[in-house]
Amino acid sequence: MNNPFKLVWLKCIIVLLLIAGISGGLLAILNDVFYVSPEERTHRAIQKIYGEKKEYSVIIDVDGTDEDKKQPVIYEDMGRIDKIYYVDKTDDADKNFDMLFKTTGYFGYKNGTITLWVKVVCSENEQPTIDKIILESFDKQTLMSKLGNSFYEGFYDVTDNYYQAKDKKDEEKTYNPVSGATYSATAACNAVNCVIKFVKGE
Amino acid sequence: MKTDYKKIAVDGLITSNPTFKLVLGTCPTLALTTMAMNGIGMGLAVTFVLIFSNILISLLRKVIPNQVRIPAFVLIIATFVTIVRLLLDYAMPDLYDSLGLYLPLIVVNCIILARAESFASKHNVLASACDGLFTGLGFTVALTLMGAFREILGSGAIFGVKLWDFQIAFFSSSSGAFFTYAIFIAMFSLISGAVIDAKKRKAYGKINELKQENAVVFDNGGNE
Repeated sequence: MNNPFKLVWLKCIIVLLLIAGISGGLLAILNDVFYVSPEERTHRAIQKIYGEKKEYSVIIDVDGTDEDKKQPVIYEDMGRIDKIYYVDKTDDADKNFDMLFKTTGYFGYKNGTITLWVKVVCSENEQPTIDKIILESFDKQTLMSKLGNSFYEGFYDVTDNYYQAKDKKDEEKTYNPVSGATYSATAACNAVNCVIKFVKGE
Repeated sequence: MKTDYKKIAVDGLITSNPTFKLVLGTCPTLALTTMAMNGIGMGLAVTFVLIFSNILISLLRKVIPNQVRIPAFVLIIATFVTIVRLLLDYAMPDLYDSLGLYLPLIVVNCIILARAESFASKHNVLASACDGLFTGLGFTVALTLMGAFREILGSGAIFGVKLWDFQIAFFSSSSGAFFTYAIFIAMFSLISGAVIDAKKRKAYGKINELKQENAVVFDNGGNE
């Protein structure tokens, strides 16, 4: 009988299995060591917006553990809101608070999407205003570098009007175009419009 | 055989530069060089994978049967790419986000597989580590230079710091990436060609000096 350790096919299988097994074990350990929880990801997004960690409470979080708050807000014609957080300003005497939205706009270039974090400042007697927008991610967009700060600053206003990137002569909507990246700008406008629609309660 | 580490370094950085000379790993080169920071990030990620996969492949080169060497190399490379992904997501989330899809695609980056197959599987651990380091640095420098060029012209900034409002949007686009790549390959060929010519001239000059000094008569078909 042949010595099994001299069979090439057996040696090949054993070597591959050994490499796969050791790699798998190592990755399992490292995955545990470098695990980033959904809460930590949210903290990171908040830190990007505020420059520091802030306490927040969840209104909607599709990645969260609370089943009651897992349902996203979907607007078929513009996009969806996957996360909404309430950020209390404990040091504010006027009882102002912020709402943070993770919103995704549809109908970008090649039907792709753009996901933004939108900070809305709310106060008791005034209309909510968009205060800051940060790009979270995008899909299929190729000219995102054209969507600079000046474009996002175009949304920093009262939330009574919707936005459009293509000039459709719609006076109901504020025109916020980007030359050469109209489809990407449309997806970004749709993402912001989702927030406005939610804030308006429509 | 004595290993020539200087040659390994010069090969990785210049004479066999993976980006400008061998034209390998073009996918991340074209897609990620919109910003210099992306170039550095991608380059260092590839360097990490190159060094450690080369070390491990060199260590296991006598154990891995020839018939399954490619699947084994891919398994090893994939392991280190996953480690880089975990590390970046944990420690540098901004860079992790900006590299996006191209980070897992390092697994199929032909630079890494080429070095594993052509160098690490035939040389000792130290030489393989050096080869990984210098090939990776060559790739990093190339991506950073292209990223800086495109960022300055396409966004009017460098490493995210705004320089001026003047921008040529073409350089941020895909076609701008190809154009930039062509410019850099042409410049690299021109400069390296000039350096090689200068070295040849210098060598010929020395030979001529020796000829004159020693009055050496070369065999030239019996004419001299």
